[in-house]
Amino acid sequence: MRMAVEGMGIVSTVGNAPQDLARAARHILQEEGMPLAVSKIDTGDLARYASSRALRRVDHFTRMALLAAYSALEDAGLEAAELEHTGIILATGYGPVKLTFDFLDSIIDFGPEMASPQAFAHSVHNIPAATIALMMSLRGPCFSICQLDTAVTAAALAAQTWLAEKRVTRVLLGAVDEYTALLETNTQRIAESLPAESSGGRRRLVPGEGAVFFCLHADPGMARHGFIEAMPPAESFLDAPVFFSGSASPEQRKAFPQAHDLSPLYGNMPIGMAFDAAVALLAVREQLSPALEKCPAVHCLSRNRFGMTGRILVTSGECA
Amino acid sequence: MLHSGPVSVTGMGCVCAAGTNLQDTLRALETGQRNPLPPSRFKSEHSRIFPVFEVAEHIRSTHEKPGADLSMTVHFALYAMEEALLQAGLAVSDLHSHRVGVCIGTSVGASLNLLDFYRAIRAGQTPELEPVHRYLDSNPAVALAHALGASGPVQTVVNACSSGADAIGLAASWIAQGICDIVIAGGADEMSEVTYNGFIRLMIADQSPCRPFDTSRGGLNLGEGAGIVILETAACRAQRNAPELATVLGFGTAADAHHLTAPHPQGLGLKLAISEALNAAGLTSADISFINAHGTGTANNDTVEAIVLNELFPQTPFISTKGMTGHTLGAAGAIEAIFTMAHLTAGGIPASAGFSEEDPLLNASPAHAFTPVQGQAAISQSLAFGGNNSVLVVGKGRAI
Repeated sequence: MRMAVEGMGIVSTVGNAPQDLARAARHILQEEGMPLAVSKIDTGDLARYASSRALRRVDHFTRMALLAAYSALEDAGLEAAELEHTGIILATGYGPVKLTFDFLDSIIDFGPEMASPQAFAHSVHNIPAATIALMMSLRGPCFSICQLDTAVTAAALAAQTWLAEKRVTRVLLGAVDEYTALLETNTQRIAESLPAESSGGRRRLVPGEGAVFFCLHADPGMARHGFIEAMPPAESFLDAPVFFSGSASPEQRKAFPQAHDLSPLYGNMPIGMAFDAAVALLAVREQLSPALEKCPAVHCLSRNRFGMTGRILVTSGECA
Repeated sequence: MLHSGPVSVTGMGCVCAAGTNLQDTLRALETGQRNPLPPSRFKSEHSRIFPVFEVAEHIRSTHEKPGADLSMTVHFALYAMEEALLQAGLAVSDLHSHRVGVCIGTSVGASLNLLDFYRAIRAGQTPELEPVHRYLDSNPAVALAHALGASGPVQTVVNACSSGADAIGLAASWIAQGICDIVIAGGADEMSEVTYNGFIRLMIADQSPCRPFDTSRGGLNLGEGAGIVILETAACRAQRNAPELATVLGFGTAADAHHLTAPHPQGLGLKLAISEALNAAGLTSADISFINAHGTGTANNDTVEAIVLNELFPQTPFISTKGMTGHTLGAAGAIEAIFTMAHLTAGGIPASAGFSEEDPLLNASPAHAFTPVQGQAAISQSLAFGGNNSVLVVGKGRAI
């Protein structure tokens, strides 16, 4: 089932507007390998949607998620109060890591009898999605999915499942991960212990962070940006470009003649596929020209460390 | 929401403190013998002891790939999966000709609770990466799919304490919509020092064996384990001539949108989830023979559940099984869905371990002795951090 993309929200190190993403993607596609200017994630715009009081205990991971979700709604021309029968699905590779380690810090620093209950409670993986539900007063289904490199495909399939059975009429589908210095150290140590050909091409890639949200609807007439659809993996794709993320080695990427690696845009990130899908939605609307000429469809693939590959097909309206 | 019809359950497996297979566990639930103890796998630095329900035996699955070093969570899940596959009459090789999905709920099993590793980092050491590799290899749904060579969708649901129920609910939709022929679904979680400290600091852990719905209840005891079901399409089951042990009739899930760690005081989200699950099943509250309540033993949870049960199911017997298993977090919804199916088939529910005196403020008592139940359907309900509420309506198995 194709899901109509009504709106899209981006929070990234290359900027938070779709045109920022398009500019960065064009740079990578035209000058693959050239460094890309990135900056620290800025979630200051959240103040446009929520009071500082409401945000005072909200951590960085959840701020990124909230800003991307609100931006997707705004892009769709919707307000939270208008949302009925709406579900939330949040995909992540590691969950709110910073809070997890904040709780460990509090155990180490103050002992278990004085450890921070708030850091513990808020480090539970479904709290960011629950915060979105709470702040938008959404009482539909609210799922969080955690797995490396295939969480976005899994989340898209869950959204399709809900829309197909009319459990909801709309889904806020998002993906979030955050950077920590410890994650970078560990990732580097692990990558260095692997031979180059099996490191998934990410040996020198710094862990990234960011969030992407899509506002999805079952009605094809609501497709402002195009469509996305979780699909079973296939052996080859000759009909359209491929954006390949995750643990794919250069050899595995070569199996797809039109494969592009956009990972410099988002870094080493288990939910990189969500950024690929966002760029693909720009591509099918011809917003990556001249770096990528008219392409009514893009395959987004993400491969995990066991070789399992998730696939999302992004299409324009004319590719129905 | 579309009414999709019953989804067949052809296998069930369970590991928890009450037993390392479903039959032993059900027998333990009948006898009510329980023995929560101080945690054995880590040394608690608390001055007070909070008992937990650990799996007593050293569980190791035969499906662990050579050289792999998997988490306890995955071992519990694999072990329960082996029991479920055996009961379903399925060998791993049988699965390769089918579209097999894996959908597992967890909480601890997807968390970076690397306390000792992190402590060493903080001390300026460079610890071995073994715990990191274990984490990377031990995403529950991915690890099960990898062990089986499954080719269908793979999903690890992390909805805190409703994860196991949510995984089964979503898996049932995959079957109903023809996305998979077979789905291995359920939940798994292990005891963790981090979680143990967290629940104590939230002041919702009991220093005594827990007493769900009792007037003297003082909180929860943590538990661990896994519950796995095999769901199949009617065509797949008929082809194999496999008995249907139970059915998933409906699933409802709703958010409270009220508070991040406390349920809505009137159970708003829970009522929505119940209504949705009954609608999906094409049933009414009068069709429900009994309810397996979430029943953690905390003041808030049991109060809200009692309000909802009194309003929607005033005459329907209910039970909490956490007095026998502890709160197994991401596994709880799956383990309890399996208990619900088994008790529906058996025609009765055992006494709720730990309950002895009704709380006059709740005006709701779980079964305090074996209670015969009649009918074709029952409910298992799960509440979670974040205000998640999930409800499975399950039915008896039908003759082929």
